[in-house]
Amino acid sequence: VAGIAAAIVAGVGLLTCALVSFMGPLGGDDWLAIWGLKARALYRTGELASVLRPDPDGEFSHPEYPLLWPIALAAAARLSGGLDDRLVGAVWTLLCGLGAALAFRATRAPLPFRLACAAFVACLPYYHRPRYVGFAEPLLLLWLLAALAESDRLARGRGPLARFALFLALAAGTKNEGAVAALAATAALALGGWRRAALAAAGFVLLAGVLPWRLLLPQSQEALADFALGAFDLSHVAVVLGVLLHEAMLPNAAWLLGAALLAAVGWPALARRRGVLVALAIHLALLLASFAFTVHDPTWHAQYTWRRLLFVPIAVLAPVLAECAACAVAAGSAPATAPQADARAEAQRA
Amino acid sequence: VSELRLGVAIALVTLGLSGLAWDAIQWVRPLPAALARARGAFETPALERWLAESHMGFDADFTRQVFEGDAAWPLDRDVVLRVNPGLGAKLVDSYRIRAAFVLAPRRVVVRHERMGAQTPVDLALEAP
Repeated sequence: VAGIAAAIVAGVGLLTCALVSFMGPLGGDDWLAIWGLKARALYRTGELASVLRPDPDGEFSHPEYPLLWPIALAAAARLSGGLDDRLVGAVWTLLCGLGAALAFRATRAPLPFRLACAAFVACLPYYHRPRYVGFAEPLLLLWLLAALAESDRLARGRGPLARFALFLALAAGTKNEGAVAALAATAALALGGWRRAALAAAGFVLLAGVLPWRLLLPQSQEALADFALGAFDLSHVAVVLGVLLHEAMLPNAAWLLGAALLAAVGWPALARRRGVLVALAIHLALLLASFAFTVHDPTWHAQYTWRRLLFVPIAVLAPVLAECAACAVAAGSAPATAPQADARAEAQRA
Repeated sequence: VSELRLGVAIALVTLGLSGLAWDAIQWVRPLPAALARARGAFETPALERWLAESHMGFDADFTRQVFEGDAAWPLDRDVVLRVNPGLGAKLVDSYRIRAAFVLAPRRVVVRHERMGAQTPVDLALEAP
């Protein structure tokens, strides 16, 4: 019954996502100025350099952003015979479904909890806000959830490590935050004692995910438009923390409390996923630290970006929380055997 | 204690998923209107859909001009966006971004020129 209920909720998330993405021609300024503009240029010319032509001074189109998302859209448009808002609506819904499926795959728990995790991801508000339709974060999330699923198979040989590195490289090729996530993931791997694997993965991400577009970009457009070393001001971090407190944490205190309670009742699962938690902590710390270098008003910058920046870490945390719930339910259903099951799972992992 | 953990976990998962599903449904209420709008995406021409949106429809004449230019002008030519000098910088950016999106990969160059009071902006092919 729980599994069916979770599947129904996942269906509701997908259906509402589909409706929102077809209800109007796409979302906010970042679609028009960055992602959509580049996808249209690529679709119409087939040349990477064409994405730089509409805005040669980099005033609004962020030429330094990696191009995997516009390339994917242009390729989908070539296959379907045209690039318009309906195609992007279909791709958006597909990304929501794939995100849910990968969250399902990344969860190590009985079926109802895997379905619950998928439902959680499919219903995340990010997919349902019309102004975000066409943005790059859902593709970034796919790569990171795929990497998460590989992260606890690394002991099985080189295949999982190669896939882990590939997915992180694809994340870095999708958004600059993907490179930050890759850095955090490989740092967590190194801290967990997998130094050689971490070094190999980080090297591959740098070579395959970060450097290609950096090398192709004209020198005048290499700088990150939103950040500069000269703009360093540590007080910006405090400002951003204030914005996060007032706009993200206090209004969502019930959600935070719920997540904390779930983690508390399923703490053995939390302990098993400490690598993921360390990676998320490093990722969030790096994102927060980056605001010290913002060239914008930090209040505006944080208000404009926090929903998008937190969407990915929240979705990556979902499998961990689903495992916590599964652990608590297993402990409640069979108190005598739960520690044995935990020990068995721990032994399998080792 | 184990039963309490079980109860808390089930309650939290149920509440969390219900809350998220309820929030998702709010975006498509009332459902018949949402379905009609989604169906409209497949029945209405692209220009009409854009005109119905606040991003592009805020100046219908300009939006029509951009779409007509996109259909008529070659992709390798740049475009001049002539704007009245009195127009605010934010509004000029907004016109430019919208024109650049529809006209991509053409470059849209902003040029300040005094025009009639009824014409805040105007588009033309850039002279070679």
